[in-house]
Amino acid sequence: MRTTKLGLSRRKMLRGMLHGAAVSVALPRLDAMLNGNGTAYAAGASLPRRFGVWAWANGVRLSRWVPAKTGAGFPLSDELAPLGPVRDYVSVVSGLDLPFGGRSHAAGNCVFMTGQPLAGTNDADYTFPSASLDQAVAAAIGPTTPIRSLELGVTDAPSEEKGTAFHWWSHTGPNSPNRCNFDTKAVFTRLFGAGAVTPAGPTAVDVTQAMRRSVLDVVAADAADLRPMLGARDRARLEQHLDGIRAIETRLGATGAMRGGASVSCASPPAPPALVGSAVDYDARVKLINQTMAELLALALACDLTRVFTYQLVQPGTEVLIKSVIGGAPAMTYDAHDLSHMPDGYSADDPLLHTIVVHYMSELAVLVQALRAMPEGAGTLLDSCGILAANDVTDGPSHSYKSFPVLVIGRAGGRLRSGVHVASAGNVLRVPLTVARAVGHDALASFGAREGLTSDPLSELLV
Amino acid sequence: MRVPAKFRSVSIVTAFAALSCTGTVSGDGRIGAKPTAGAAGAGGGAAAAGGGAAGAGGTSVGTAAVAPPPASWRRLTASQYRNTIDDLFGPGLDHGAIEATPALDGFSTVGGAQGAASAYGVEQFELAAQQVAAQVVADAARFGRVIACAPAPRAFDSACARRSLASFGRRVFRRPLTDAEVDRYEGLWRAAAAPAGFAPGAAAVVSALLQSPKFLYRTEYGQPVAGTATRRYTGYELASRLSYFLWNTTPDDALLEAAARGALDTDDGIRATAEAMLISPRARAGLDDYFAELLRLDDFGLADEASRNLPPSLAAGMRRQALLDLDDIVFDRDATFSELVEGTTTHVDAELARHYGLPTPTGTGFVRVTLPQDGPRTGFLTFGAFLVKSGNGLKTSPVRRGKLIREGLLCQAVPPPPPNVDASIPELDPSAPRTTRQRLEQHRSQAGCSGCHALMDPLGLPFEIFDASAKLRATENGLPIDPSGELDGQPFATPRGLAHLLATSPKLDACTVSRLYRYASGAASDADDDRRLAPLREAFRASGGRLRALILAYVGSALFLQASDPS
Repeated sequence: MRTTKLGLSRRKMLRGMLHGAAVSVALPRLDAMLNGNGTAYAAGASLPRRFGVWAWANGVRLSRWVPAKTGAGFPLSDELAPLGPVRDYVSVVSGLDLPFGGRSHAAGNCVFMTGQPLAGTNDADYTFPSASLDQAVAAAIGPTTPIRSLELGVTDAPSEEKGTAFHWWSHTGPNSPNRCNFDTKAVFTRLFGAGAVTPAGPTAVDVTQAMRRSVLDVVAADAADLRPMLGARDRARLEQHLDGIRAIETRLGATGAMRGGASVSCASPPAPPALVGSAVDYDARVKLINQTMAELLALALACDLTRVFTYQLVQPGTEVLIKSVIGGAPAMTYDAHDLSHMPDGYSADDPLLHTIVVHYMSELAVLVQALRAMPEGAGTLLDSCGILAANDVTDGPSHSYKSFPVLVIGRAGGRLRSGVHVASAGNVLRVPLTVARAVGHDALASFGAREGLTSDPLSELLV
Repeated sequence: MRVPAKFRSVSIVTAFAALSCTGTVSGDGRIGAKPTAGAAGAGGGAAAAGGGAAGAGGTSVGTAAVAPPPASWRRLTASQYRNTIDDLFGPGLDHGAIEATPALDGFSTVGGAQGAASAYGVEQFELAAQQVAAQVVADAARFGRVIACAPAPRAFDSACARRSLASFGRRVFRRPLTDAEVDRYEGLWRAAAAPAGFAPGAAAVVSALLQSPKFLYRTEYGQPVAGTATRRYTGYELASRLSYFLWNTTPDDALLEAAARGALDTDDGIRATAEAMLISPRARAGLDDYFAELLRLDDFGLADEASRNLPPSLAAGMRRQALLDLDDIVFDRDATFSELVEGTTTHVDAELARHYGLPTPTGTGFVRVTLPQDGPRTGFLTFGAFLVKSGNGLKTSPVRRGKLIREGLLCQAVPPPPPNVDASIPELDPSAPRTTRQRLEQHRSQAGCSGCHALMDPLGLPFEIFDASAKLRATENGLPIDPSGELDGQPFATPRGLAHLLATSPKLDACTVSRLYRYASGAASDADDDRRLAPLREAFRASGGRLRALILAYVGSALFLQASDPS
């Protein structure tokens, strides 16, 4: 059997990095607490809906991305083929444009997540002009979960020092990114380790919960001293910081009573292996980390530790070198970003340009399958999710934002139609608006500004 | 492209003068014209107009009535946090994981001054504070730095707690605590000590102090100066400003004492203190972050370099070389800063010397060597930290090299490609060998690309005499390499020639001034910066371009000592 440098067989890896936890886990939400149909709590409250953003980078080959037919049961295109096993949950939106055009790769994630153009003037300082959509959705649908929103990443490839928009899809404000966590061990610790608040209640830590609260009271009192002294802009930054303090207080106050009961699996699932910094090349590592992150995310959602996530397979304009996909020298001299720009010697239909997209979609399929493997109520976790999968440009050679490629994954508790290809025209920001409302941010009347402004959901995506 | 007015109040205007690809530099240093598709290769003279934040040095510009930058509330950068913890409790403890500070305009100090910590970042601060506090109370030597007295056994020793808070609290908040603060923290200490005892109670206090926004953020708001619209920083604020700028860490007891006795209340006092701090060996480590960010080293030579296809020891050596060269210029010799790009010496070990084709140095480790006078190498641009970092170790990137020179050394921002312009190159006969220059010539013939590429390619292509690992090469694909180029209309024959043009360019000096100010102040740039920095440019020029003189001129100037009202 072929084994990786970590000594893990491929078969074992695919069976579940959490030692089988994701497939053997008892229903985190006890059936006894649900109604007869498994669609809601016995007391009448609905199952939570979840919102996610999944990001790849550097565009697609539109000719090989857009499915040949529209509607339900559309045939998967070449580049979407890896999603075959989960196709019933995947909708494709094509033909809609990202407004404001582009100035750089960072424009894609910024406009898609804020509905506004980049703030800043150049690569070194491009940032979001405001908080991103996921943060608004989190405030609306998950204000009491232990973690407001979870940001996960798979590859932290080296890149130039650039503004925050060049790296991150989630922001709480200008220059205030929610960085993705690339370290599976750290993510696990945050979710389930010492100090974490799980559905079964706080886990054992040396410092008592009461003492942590007392400490935070003093921190808050210090902040109250500062508040009247600070200028308006700095006061807003202080409030952003205090949001983090309040999130900890929420976690400390969480009893678990609302959270699916005392499932053993939620209280102490097995820890994943540490993968960051291991001497494994990108190819092996990305598979290991992606599989593990996907399973951790599924557990976090199932245990209702959070209802909102951002999952960056790669950073905008990523320069990773994907050896097994791109192949050996001389092609290896080009990284993923170079190749997307169709360097000298490559034609538009070069298989390499397309193979990278297929690689990204196969990694997306891993995540979708991990969510589908988690039973919940009468269905699976995926039934409750509304996930936007998007990237930073339409295609590399032109840095175009026309016909911006977007996937919508999951059924948002029965509100999203899945498994359809919607071809349309106009403003692609209708898609995030649609999904944000479908997962429960009903108060979101509109999304975007100026020519990006829309208050018009894409009805073809709604049930 | 213009930033819409509604965002302008919150957006960060950059330190850079934005280049336009049609041959002008925007005068206000703000927002450049967008690249113009189809502009004929009019790069010559593009940056010659001076102007902008990085305008020509030595220009006589009125300095009256330029307001100092606004008062600031700055988060400690991740490395400042770690250094501070080490200074407060002694080195060697586990800091816990701390969120990285985003680099803005290339500097984490600017990112720390403009953004806020994320929710996860705040969580990490909480856990780190608990971890550090637990380590401190478990270690008598560390705990001795917190308590100022031996607490009485049994009952809670209020007097000892208050004495300790007065002394240790001042170290943490970088100023004396108010009575209300002492009361607050004593209350926490008393409550925490009730079930657990005096020392475990102290752990709660340490944990709270380390999470307080008064610790994690430097409140530098100054005091209004009567009869003016400006504020002057207090002695304690200046102690912090000096310490975090020059030592990248919290002020020590001596500096806080100096603030307490008013030694930082006069410009002369500030200057004398800064001179002493620069002489201290702590300044070398203190400016390491600055140098690394100035040279855009990122994690080059530090982190996983597998993707750069270079032996890690070689990449680490290249990083070390660049930083040693800067230390040598600034601290050992107090030499002209432009020796960074046109130098006669460098630092190598045996591995690097072999790689660069230099004579093997005598001695072990890194030694300073003199470069051959007529050789191809001189200064940072001809060594690995630039040549390798700008590519991926397997291929060179002349465009990126040109862009880095414009942005990093000349403070000129090259606009990104315009949207929806097809940047692909029509395929020629792939079997015919060509040089990178020949391929890029074709690129530059594209209407949408030529304008901006004319700013970058002629600066980057001469470095094709070095391969992607920074080794010298005679040919590329069997063809001779043309090492010539031009900088804003000035032709040069080799990278050495470019280094000389750069080293003698007032734009390099102006950029050096601008970058130092940006790092030290953390301030967002604005339209007044060009006028604001004119006196510093003059002082820098008068000193023969020495960084220490620039630093001393800066800390003695209104830019460092005064502030406008916060925005």
